[in-house]
Amino acid sequence: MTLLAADELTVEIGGKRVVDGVGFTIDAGATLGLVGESGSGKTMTALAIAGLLPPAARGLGRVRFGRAVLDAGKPGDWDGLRGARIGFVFQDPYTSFDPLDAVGAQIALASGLPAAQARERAIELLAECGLPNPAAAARAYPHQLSGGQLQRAAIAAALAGGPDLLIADEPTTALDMTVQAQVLALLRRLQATLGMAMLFVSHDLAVVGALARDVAVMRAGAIVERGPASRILTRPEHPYTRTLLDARPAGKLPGIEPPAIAAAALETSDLRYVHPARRRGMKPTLALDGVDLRVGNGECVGLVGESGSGKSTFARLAIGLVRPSAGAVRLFGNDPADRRHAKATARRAQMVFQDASGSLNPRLTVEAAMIEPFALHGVGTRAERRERAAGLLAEVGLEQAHLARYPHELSGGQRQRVAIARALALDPALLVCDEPVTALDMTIQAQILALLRRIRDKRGLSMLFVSHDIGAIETLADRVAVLKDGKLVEEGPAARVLRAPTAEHTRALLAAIPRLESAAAPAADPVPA
Amino acid sequence: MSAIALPLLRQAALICAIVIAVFFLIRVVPGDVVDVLALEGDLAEAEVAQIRAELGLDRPAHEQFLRWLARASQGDLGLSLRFERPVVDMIGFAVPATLSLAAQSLAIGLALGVALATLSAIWPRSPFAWLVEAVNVWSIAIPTFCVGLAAILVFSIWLGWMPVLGNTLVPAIVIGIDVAGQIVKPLHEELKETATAPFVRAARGRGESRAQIVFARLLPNAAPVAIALSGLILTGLIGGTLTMEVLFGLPGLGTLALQAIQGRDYPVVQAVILLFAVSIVTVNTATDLCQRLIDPRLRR
Repeated sequence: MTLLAADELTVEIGGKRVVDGVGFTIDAGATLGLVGESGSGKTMTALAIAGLLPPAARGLGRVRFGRAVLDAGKPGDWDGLRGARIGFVFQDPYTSFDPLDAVGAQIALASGLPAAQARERAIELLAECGLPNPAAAARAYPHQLSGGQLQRAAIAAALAGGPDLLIADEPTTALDMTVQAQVLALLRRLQATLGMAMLFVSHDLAVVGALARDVAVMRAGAIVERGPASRILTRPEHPYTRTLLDARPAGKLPGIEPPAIAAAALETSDLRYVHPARRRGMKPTLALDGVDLRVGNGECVGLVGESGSGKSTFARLAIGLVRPSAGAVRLFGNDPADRRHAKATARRAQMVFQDASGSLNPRLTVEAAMIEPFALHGVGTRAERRERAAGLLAEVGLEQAHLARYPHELSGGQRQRVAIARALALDPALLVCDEPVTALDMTIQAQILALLRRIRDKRGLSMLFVSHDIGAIETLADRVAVLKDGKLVEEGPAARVLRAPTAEHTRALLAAIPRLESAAAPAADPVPA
Repeated sequence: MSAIALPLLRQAALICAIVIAVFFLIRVVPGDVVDVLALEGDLAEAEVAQIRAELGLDRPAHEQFLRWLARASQGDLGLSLRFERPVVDMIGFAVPATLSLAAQSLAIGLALGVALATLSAIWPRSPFAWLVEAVNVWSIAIPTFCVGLAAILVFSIWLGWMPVLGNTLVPAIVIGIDVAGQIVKPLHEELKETATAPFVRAARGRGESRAQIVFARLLPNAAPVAIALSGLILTGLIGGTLTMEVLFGLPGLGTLALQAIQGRDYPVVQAVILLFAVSIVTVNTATDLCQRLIDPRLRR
């Protein structure tokens, strides 16, 4: 039985048709996946069938919902349907709730029940949506919950009226990969148990395929292809659908399946670290508070944060220089702080520090410093060690002549190159860089970053790149994690986090980057040529 | 707790600074109370010097300050130099008049401003939206003393509904409309702005009605604007209902301050300034507390 039928649905914004005569139906209890790139009109379509178009948009056409016939141009037609028979889950959970009102109260209001019952019902719904402590979550204000928790609460709110149709607009895009999988599983379970229909909007074909039996592909405001998910995902007819499929990053699995268990170079779970009090009477400070981070094999993860956010502490914990107060670090499956594997750990992971002069012994020549790691680990003969040292030096762009120099005879950039060469001496699989370019001049910074990038590509290194400088992170990182006050506030693909950050703190960090445009009329350069 | 204690400490320091500055500044201005009396009463040279000595005005300023401080710390703000009445009594007499006028004005202004802004948020294309503009322009363009004079002309002289002097309701309405004009426009803008917030769209998606959205979402989220403005306006009213006090013959703080400054009545000026400073600090602290009460993100 057809629950919803959109007929010649059109949305105009400023005279431009962003949705152009779209028609589709959704059967009761069925799930339709709506796929398309950003700007394809899929979100506007979803908003239009819920009567939620923004004031600037003009809706045309008709939507039949059950027995009601609704005019897309009159949002008022949906009064009484919205919330009660049509539930809506938005992309960004952080802006789905009024910041001044307790989450439970907002869900209770959506249930339409008398106050006392509504409160009970809100807690029930939160429990149903998998919030571990539903009563506490109901009392909490939005800012006290995480993104995943908020999205579960938003789903609970959408279910409060017992809808026949749930519209979910990119409900997992703003969430971390692991949370994304949980939320998708939740949606699938709810849809199956409650028997409601669902319109699932996403840019990700695989995610849609995991949830919907039918898929419609949108492009430039029109549906170009519609059919069973099994066919569309394997034998698309429209060339655009094929492009969408091909554009998916290779090896990325559909979000509903557990994340790939390719062995991680570095993995931390619920990592906590408390700085002991330095002096009597001072309080110990919590530097890291439950950090879960994973650096995959061959992956470069950028860890950004302001000073004091705990990122250097994290780097130290990662290679076992300090022991965690709680939680676990797994470096290629082992505990890096375990003294019994100290040598193995050192061979697998090396660190490049911010201050290169501090990491080189001032009384050793470059050659002596370079040979040290080989000697410690008993690698090669004397002649072989010298040869390898020279080779490494060439790899980081220094010359043989530098071998005989002392650190103070080198420039800052050259010292950092030596430090990198020495970190590479034992052929590590993971390089942890703690603000490796911060102490250097801008032009030298660019050179060192280019060097790190080249080495990483050539050696297939995994990398944890810690920096407060988003520009530096951008040139290297595949994924970006943002630390604030010892907590991860955001994590995701670099392109997504740096272009479309969801956490407020990330936005603040990005906004803090000095832009070239703002320096378009620079004051006279005070540095003499 | 320190989130409240620390600002309070800072404010207390500010009060001290203001009191000290005023004490010395007013003595820098040429002419003291004795000069004023001499002008009025034709005193001989010897008498002038004698009175000055009696009042302690011939002592160095810092000595006068220490003496004032010693007494003030015991709650004794001294005698008025002109009226020879305890300053505390004079203030105590003036405060109720000013406070009742200020409170009535703010209440009328808030009620009118919030009501208009809310109604025009619910019905954006109704005459209420037009009224928002009208009240705003009214308060910017027409000084309260003009409106006050017109009110006296209409209600007291033509219609004869009330006596000219000693009435507080009419001046309160006149100031109230002015206050409403200052509040209504920013509040209206804030409500419009909040209406476009994503969480409001989400609330509509959850099925909240128009009225629920206005009262449960828009108004609380726009309230900080109204509270901040009310705080500013209230501090202004405590010191600045002067024109209405004069016009309607109300013996308030404004009148008292004016007379004291003109007559170089140092202890009274000092006391009034002290009172103003304390009330500004009190209002600011109360404003902060209200914001905290509304926004859970500020409570930490």
